[in-house]
Amino acid sequence: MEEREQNIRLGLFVGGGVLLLLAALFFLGLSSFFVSEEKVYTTFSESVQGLTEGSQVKYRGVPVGSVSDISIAVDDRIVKVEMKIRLDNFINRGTHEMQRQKFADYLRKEIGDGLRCRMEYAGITGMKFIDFDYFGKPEDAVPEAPEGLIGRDDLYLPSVPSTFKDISATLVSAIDRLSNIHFEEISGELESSLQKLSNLLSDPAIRSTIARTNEVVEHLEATASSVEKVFNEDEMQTMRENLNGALRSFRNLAETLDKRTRQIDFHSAQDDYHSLIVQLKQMIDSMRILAEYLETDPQSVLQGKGKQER
Amino acid sequence: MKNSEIFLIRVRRRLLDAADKCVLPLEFLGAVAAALPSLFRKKGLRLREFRYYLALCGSKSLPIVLLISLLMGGVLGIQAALQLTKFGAEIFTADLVGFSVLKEFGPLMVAIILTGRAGSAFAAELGTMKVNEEISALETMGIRPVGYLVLPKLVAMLLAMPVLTVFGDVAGIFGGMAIGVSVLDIPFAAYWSRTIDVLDGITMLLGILKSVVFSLLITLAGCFYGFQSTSDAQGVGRSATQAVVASIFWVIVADALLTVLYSFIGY
Repeated sequence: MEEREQNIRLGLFVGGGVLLLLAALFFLGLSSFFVSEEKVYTTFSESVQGLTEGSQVKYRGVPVGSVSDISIAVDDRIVKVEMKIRLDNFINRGTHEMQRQKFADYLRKEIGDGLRCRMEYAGITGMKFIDFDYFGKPEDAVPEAPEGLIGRDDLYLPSVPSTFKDISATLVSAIDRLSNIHFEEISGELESSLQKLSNLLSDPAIRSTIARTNEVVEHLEATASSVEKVFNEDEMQTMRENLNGALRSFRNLAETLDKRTRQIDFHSAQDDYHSLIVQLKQMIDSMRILAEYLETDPQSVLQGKGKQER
Repeated sequence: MKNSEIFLIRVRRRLLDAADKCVLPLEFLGAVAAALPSLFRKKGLRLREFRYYLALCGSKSLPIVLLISLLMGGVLGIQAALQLTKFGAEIFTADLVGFSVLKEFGPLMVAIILTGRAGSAFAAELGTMKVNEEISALETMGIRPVGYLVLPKLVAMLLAMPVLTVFGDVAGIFGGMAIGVSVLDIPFAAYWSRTIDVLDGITMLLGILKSVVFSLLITLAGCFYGFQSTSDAQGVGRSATQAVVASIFWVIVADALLTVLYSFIGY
């Protein structure tokens, strides 16, 4: 009985271990034997430093395969990259052959719509992956595969230069432009301009103007402050409304006058017109007196003349 | 006899002793190799002993292997996390733990545990048999003690250790995963996905191949020092100690050599 129990225990140990090994091997790569894959080729005319066999291939960020081979086309000075794409990510129905055909059709159509591949950094380690995305435009002409490098029936996905290459090119261009700038000349001109400016500022007339400007500003500030002391916001609002009303009345008066003057006979009403002019002159004089009074005693607008006397 | 002659005789004796000590392991290895064909004969392997050693080295060692591997994976995960979080690269904890456990720590920890459990036991057992003159009795009966006593242990270890390594690997990865998920807040699915993305079956199989080599070394060292034990109680203790020290030393040396060899094939 004890022997039987020991056998069961050993069977569990060995059987469990073997099953665990098979499961681990399945998850860690052997499952790929049962996955339909299709090879897609591309070429790069830039350095592929950081891209290795096994590097990921992503379609808009989704892992869809890996790099399976990297070779150099010596004559063309370009790097040919072979990628294995898992077809289940794109077409998950039908037999392997059907999946391949559908994927090929799909890829050709998408290339026409601007699908291209590009190398991207996978992180801070310098490793790279290949990203499939619509970097091209539908109206762009589809680049042809380099002659003799890619088979007629093989799937070819054109590549675009990577962003870091663009950045590098931009930097080189910027440095070139910077090197074309004559800093010494600019420095000399700047120095001369500063000297002229210094001479100008030391001119007595300019100094006097600045001093007078300062005085004017000080006067303005004092005036503003006194006005602020006398009138608060509500009073100012009331005054503004009153002034608007007076202006409206004045405009009505002017319009009425205009109408009347058109209607009347100037020759016959010359005396009336004269008396009107006299009255208007008197009114303007009164307004001037009022304005002067207000200037000397602004508080009378609120308190009135009589109130102040009291 | 002159002093110089006495000195030369002593040097000669020391050299012969040293040569004997160097030859003894080779002699033992040769005897084991010569006994291997007997495994393929009918009743060549003593099943009862094989079962006993398989239980000793395998199923009875499983709990401690699982516990230590789980903790080792967790420790690796914490250490990786402490460094990788500085760069915002926590997800690479899965890479570090996975590769470390499968390639190094899984086989190595199991080997060290089995050295303590089985290697010393083999040496003590054979040493005691020598004290009791059971080995002499076997020789008197015309039974080759090396084949009779070593082969069941060797076969049991060759089977038990790779299986234990598989368990240890999985436990180590889950230990790292527990840290990644609980401490680093990496989603379980992301950690799992990253682990199966970066690891491959070949890496795991190469780790298990290491464990096969380690099992050979531990068994041979344990049995060799058991046979070399002197016929007294203290000799048994010494042989057990020597077996453990030699096993660990040769396991580490073999691990280093295998790592270099694997690097040649890109692993």
